[in-house]
Amino acid sequence: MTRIKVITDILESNARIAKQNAEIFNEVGLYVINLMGSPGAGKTSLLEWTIKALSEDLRIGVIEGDIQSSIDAERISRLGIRTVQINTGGACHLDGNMIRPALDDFNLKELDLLIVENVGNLVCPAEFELGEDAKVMLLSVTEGDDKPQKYPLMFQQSAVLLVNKVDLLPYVDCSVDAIEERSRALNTAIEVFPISCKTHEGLEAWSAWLKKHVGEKHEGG
Amino acid sequence: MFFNMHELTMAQAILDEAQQQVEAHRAHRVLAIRLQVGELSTAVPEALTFSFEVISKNTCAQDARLDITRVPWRIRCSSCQKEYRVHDRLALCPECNSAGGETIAGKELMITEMEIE
Repeated sequence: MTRIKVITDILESNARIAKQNAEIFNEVGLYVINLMGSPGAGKTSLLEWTIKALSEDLRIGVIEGDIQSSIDAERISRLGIRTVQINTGGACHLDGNMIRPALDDFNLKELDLLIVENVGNLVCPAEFELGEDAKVMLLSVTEGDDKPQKYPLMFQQSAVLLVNKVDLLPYVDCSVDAIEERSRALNTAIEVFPISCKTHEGLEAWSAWLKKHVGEKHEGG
Repeated sequence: MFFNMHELTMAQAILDEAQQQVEAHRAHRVLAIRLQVGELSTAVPEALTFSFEVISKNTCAQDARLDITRVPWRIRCSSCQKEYRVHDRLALCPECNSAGGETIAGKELMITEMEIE
């Protein structure tokens, strides 16, 4: 019997593919976000608003990840945006490998922003890199302010936290301050935007953030 | 190939590594694989072990034992730099009472050692 030291990161093969994806994006100066959140948090509604707000200034593409159905891709396509649906067939997250074939359906040179909407889930999407520039997490106030404590990895990995459905705050026991405080304890750099896709409160600040980052990447690329 | 559980993806990566090591060392089979899984990792050890059993059938790693060590979640306080272990959920620094800091351990998902023959 031989004992061998190995020291290998189990997610290394995914990280390698994600890095190749990132190189593809960097070559054309394309800014990519990985949008994560629970089912029903409002990811697709956020996308719809973001597209309407930015599509005059930015050329946007969308990859929709869902276990089943093309409902989301149909919603986004209605806005005249190139959208590719990936059905994971049961898998709980997207990984670097899964988005690769979808990239062939875009002319990446003609895009400024690619939004990848991950499978609705607060657990494993945090663990699998896609090659994105930023992870953006959407949490709705109806889910409760204990989520940073229950799903810490997701909050640690995200650059931005959008707290959605703030128009419902009078009806739920949830404190946006508590969410912000608990998220910052896990991730001091996280940017928090309270928003409502229903009343459009706070969405200007989010789109300004996005525009700024897309612009910076474009200039660098 | 798409899997239903993220542990299955991870088990496949472990099996790939095991097979490469067996080949590189001209061995025949894998007896044990030692892993470190941080408390923050989304991998559930039981699900990882089960997934590995399923996919390692009829390979050189069939019946290999997965020795999984959980790595505690540790924080370096952003105010006083004290390093402390987090139990259950992130609480205040035991030294200075500030909230949070940098995670210095607990995200591991690593193979550290293998026994082969």
